[in-house]
Amino acid sequence: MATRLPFNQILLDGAVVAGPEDFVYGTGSLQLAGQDSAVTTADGMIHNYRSALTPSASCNLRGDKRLKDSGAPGDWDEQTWPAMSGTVKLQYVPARGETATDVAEFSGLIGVEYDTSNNQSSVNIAGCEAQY
Amino acid sequence: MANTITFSDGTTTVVVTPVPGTVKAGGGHDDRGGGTIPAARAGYAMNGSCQVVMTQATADNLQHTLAELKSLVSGIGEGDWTVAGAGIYAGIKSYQALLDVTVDGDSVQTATINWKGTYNPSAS
Repeated sequence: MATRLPFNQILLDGAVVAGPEDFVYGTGSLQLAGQDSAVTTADGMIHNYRSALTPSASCNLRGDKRLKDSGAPGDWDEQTWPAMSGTVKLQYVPARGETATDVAEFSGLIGVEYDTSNNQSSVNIAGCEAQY
Repeated sequence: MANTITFSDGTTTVVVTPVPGTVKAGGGHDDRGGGTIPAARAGYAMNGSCQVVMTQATADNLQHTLAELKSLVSGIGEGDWTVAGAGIYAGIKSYQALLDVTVDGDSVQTATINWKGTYNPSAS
């Protein structure tokens, strides 16, 4: 079973992308998928080993947040350019005014899709544990 | 004696009081053969899980902060957690285990701690 942790704040390259005031309650979920294997030695012992821990995250934000998309132009009639992923930091703010707890930091791309039927943006963050 | 489960990796020790009725243990053995071939159990696993309550306030043995729960998640490498129960969970043991934590719930948030490990390698 993979690890799943809550978050309600996103930072990209140190700048806050979305905070608790933007999140649809209870939707921020980080999944850490372990690439696990097990080897049984001749003494009957099982050795569990984790070769990687791959992060992916999703959440829903209120309103049209497509400008938070990785590589989105500053305005809709500007140009874009291919770019590497940025440093995504996910945090959990436990209560108003409280210090945020760091949940995870990884290299990731943010994808945003806006739905006018409920005025929400669904956000997916595909990540890589290592920083290249 | 308190009904607790202790997780320790040599540097970090976390003592939890599981939600009653949520502790599970067993299964996951390395079984070979079967069918026309006699079955054999090559390795004996000591896996399990339990649920604990998450809190926004200071962690104690009954409720746990996100930071404390996150510290339980195994990183890259060999499993190195020791799991040991006390009280009615005295039969809960696991060694060299990998740990994962899943937080669920919209109102009361609960965390499910999963471990997969093996028997005590230092037992005679």
